[in-house]
Amino acid sequence: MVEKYLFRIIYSIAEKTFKAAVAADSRGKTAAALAIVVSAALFSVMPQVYLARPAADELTWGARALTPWWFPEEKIADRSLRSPEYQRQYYFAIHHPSVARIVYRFALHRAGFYEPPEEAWEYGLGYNDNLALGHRLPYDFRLTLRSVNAAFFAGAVVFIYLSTALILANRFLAVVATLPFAFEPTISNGWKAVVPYIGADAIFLFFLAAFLYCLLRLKDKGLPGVLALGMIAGITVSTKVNGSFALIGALIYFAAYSRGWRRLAWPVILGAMSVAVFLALNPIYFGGGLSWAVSVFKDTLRLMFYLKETTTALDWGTYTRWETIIGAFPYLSFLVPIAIVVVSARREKWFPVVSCWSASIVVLNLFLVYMPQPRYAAPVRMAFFVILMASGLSLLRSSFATRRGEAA
Amino acid sequence: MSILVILSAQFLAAAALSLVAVGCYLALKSPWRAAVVVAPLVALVPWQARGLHGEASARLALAACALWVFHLLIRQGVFVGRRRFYTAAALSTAALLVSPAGIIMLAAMGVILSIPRTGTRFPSAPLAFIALPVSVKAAVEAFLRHKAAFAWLSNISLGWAAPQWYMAAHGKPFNVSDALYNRGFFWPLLIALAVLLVLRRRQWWFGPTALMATVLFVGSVVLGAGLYFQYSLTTQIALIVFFGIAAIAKEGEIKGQSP
Repeated sequence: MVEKYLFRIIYSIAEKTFKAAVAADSRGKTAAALAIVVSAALFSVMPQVYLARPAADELTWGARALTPWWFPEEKIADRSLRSPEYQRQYYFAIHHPSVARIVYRFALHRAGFYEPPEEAWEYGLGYNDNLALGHRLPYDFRLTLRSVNAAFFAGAVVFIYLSTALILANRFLAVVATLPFAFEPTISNGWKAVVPYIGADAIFLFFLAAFLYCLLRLKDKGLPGVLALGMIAGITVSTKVNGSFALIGALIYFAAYSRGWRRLAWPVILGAMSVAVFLALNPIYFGGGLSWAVSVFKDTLRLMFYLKETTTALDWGTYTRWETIIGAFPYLSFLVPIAIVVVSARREKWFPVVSCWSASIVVLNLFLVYMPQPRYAAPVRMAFFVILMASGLSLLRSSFATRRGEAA
Repeated sequence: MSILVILSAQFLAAAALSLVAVGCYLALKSPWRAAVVVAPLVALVPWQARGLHGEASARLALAACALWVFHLLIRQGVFVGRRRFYTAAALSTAALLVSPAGIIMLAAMGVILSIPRTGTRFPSAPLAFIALPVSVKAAVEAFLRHKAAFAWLSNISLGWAAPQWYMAAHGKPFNVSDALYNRGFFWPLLIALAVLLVLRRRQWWFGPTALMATVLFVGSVVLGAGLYFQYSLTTQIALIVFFGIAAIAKEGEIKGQSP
C-alpha cells in the first residue's frame, strides 16, 4: 500500500518535471533541472535516513548538539579548578567547530528535543555490546538529525549543479555532471556513510559546495566579493577544520591569478575575514586573552592527535597509507586518462579557480586522512568529480561544437 | 584452493598482461607509451595477489588478449588471404580450448569481421572464429568426457568476475571496497572520459580495441557475479587498456577551448 502511494508521488513528480523541462522557459528548465538533481539526491539517501543502523557516535553528537555551544563563558585556565561539567563543555567545544552543533541544536529544538540523551556511548565496548545495553538515540531524535543531513546533502547537490551549470553553460550537461555525486556510495552506502552517520560531514559538504559556487560567482567582484568569500570560508572552516583546505585553494588562486597589489591584498583580506568569522562562531577562543586562545588551539591539536592515535590503534582502524589513499580515491588506476582529460581542459576560463579549489581539497585530504572512512572520502570524491566532470563534459561539448562547425 | 591453481592463475595473468603490452605497443607504436598504459594493470594485479582473479578469469583474459592482438595485426595487414584464415582458425581454437568463456569474444569477432564495412574484409570469419573452434572443442570434449560434447557451454559464465570463494573471504580489501568503492565506482568515470573515445573513434586501432573492451566489459557486467573492479581482471583490462590507449595515442590532439 505504502509502495503504491510512494510510486504515485514519484510518478507525479517525474511527470511534472518532465513536462516542465519540455515546455518551459529558461527559468522553468532550471527549476526542472534542480528538481531532477534534488530528487536524485533524496532518492539516493532517504532509505538510509529511515533504515540505517544507529551509528557509533550518535549519542555523543546528540549530547554535543544540545550542550550550549557558546560555553564556557568563564575561562578557567587551570585544569584542576575545572568541574567535570565544565571540562565536558570544553571538550565538546574543541572536538569539532561549532556550526554543526548550531544547526543540529536548532533542528532538535524545532522538533521538541531540549534535553541531551541520558545514555552515553561506551567507546571501550564493541558496537553490538553498546546496542545491547540500549546505547542509542530515540528513533525520532535520530531521524531529526539524519533529516538535517539529508537536507544539507541535497543543498550540496544543488550547489554542485549550479556550479557545473555555471562552468558548462548547459543545464543538461550540468545535470549529467551532478548525478554521479548524488549517487556517490560514500554518501548513502550503509550506516557509516555521510548522511546516515550523525556528524558534521553532510553540513560540511554543503558549505564546501557553496564555497565553490560563491568562488565562481564572486572571484571578480572586488573587495565585496572577497569579503563575502571570507565569510563563507569562515563558516566552512567552522563546520570542520578540513574546510581550511578549500580556503587554501582560494588563497592560492587569488595569489596566483590576481593582478598588481591585489595579488597580496585579496589573500590577506580573505584569510583575515575567515579567521574573524571562525572566531565569532567559536567563542571558546576569546575572552581569556592571547595565552588562553593559544592554549585552546594547542588543546585542539593535542585532541586531534590523540583521537588519531587511539583510533588507529584499534583492530578495525589500522590502515597503511596506501590503503587509505586507494580507499578514499580508487580512481588511481585510471590516472592516465584522467590526467589527459583534466590537463586538456586547462585553457578553459573556469579551470584555474576550479582546479585550485579541487586540487587543494583532494591532495590535502588524501595527505592527512588516516583511515578510509566514507565520511573522510566524500569531500575528496566531490572535489574530484567537479573538476573531472567539468573537464570531460566541456571537452565533449567542444568536440561536438567543432564537428557541427566543420559540417556547416 | 590448491596453491598450484593460484600459481597457475598468476602465470596466466602475467601472460595476459604481456599480450596487453604487445597490443598497446602495436596500437601506440611506442614502448614507453605502451608501458604507461600497462603500468596501472601491473600495479593492480600484485595488490590483490592473495585472491587473484581466479584461474578461469586469467584464462579468459589470456584468450581475449591474444584475439585482440591478432585483430590488431589483421588491421595492420600482417595476415592476409589463406594465411589469415588458418591463423585465425588455429588461434580461435586454442583460445576456446583455454577458456570456454572465450566463445563470446569469438562470436563477436566472427560476426563483426564478416561485415564488409568494418575495415577488415574477412567473409569467412564466422567459419574461422566460430564454426571450426566450436567443432574442435566439441570433438575434444566428446573424446575426453564421452557424450558431453557441449557440456562446456554451461561454463561460459565462469571467469567474468571475482570467484565467489574470494568474495566470501571478507578480507580487509573487501571491507574497504564494500564501504567505499561500491561495485561501480568507475561508472561516473566512463561519462567523463567518453570524450577520449569520441575523439579517437577514427583511429585504426579503435575498432579492435573497442571490440575487445566491449566484450570483456559487457560480459563482466552481465555474467559476472558480483562485479568489483579491483577483483575483476577482465573489467580492468577492458577499461584501463581502452581508455589508456585513447588517452595517450599520438593522433588527434585533444583541445580544450573557452565557451
